Amino acid sequence: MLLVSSLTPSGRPWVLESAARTVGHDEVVDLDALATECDDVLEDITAALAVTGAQFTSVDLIAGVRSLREVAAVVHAWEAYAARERRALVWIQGSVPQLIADLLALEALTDLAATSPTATTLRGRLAGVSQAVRSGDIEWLLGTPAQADAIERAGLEVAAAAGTKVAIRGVLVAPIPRKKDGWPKDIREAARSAYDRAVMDLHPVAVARSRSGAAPAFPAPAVTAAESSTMVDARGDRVFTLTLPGLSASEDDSAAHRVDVGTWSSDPAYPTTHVVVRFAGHAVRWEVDAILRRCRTIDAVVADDTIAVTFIPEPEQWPNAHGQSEGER
Amino acid sequence: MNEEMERPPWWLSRSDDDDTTGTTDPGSSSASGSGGFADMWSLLGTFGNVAGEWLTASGAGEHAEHGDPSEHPECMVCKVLVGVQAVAQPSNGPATATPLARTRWLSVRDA
Repeated sequence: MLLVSSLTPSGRPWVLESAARTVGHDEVVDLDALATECDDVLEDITAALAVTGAQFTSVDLIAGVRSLREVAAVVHAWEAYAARERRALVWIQGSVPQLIADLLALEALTDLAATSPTATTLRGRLAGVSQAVRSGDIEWLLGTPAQADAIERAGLEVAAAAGTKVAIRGVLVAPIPRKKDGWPKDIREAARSAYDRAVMDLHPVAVARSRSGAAPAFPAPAVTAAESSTMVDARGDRVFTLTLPGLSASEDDSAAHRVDVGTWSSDPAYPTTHVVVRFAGHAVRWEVDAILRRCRTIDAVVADDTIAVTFIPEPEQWPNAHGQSEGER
Repeated sequence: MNEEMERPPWWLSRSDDDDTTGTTDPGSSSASGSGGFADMWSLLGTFGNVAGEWLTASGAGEHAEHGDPSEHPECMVCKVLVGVQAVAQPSNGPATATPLARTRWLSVRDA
């Protein structure tokens, strides 16, 4: 399934044309239209979240939350179209990274109520979609105009998507304004510059632009753009690094565009199970290697698209004096 | 020159047949981070209140008496409300004794 979105309404025809060429057909499923056909998923969500006796009150409220309707529609789309021979094109009007993040958060939330049969049912349905996201069976194609602000936003969207491990098929840049259409030179040059910047900033994500009135296909397989690693530095501390292409796209140093880094644990037995990166309204939650679960963090550094978090062993988690060396084996 | 200045940016133009939204600013489109579980959190809070009122009216529920959800981990409604916040909306708040830990933010240095 290929999810298709555009930062601006005018980009929709271009990115859909590109998507059609990529998958070989032009039948587009609109996620908003599916939102009226996914009552069964919404009922599962409602049942999992509601308290007994209040379902009839909560179903209308929960179904009214746009995010949940879209999550339910994606689940419905995956279950309805995954088995078909032709790869489905699903048009999504909102933010795909935000939608996938919400889906994954809801999946994590169902773990809270894992003993409930209704939550188990929902978790199974969500797990099918999240597995498809992680395996690359669900990919994403984004359209953007060649304008500096839009390219910046595209970069942040790509970084957020990379953080959810969505396979990014590519970023399509809409046609650059042409001289023969009367556009001033400074606008044309700024657009070319924005496109060149996108190519550089979003590597290894494929970036292509429409030319001669036609949008190109993205024939190469989608990439999982984020990279993480853990190494031991000269002092013996463990340094976790995570690179999210596009993270440094914003040149705005205001608090709203600051990158925050933190840690979170989904398991009370360990101090850290995930590193959290928060930026531009997105929150990436990245599970760390097993050995880092038994460590605590001391600081974080942000350099371009990469964040580095330093971990030191948590003494309580290493019962013998040689625990650290054992952990490294 | 003035006409050029007043003309909308070329990248904000809309196709004629597009009537999906009135928003043309990528910074304020529906793709912005204002939706999602932030809204869900808000509405689930409403849900909790409505459910609470319903249960109060029925005389059957104890959640209606729960002011701070984080203080009632045994309550399913509170548990879900806290869970949504902890999972989807990392905050700067202090760690709590709820089943899910809050995010601990680090001091970040720029390289």
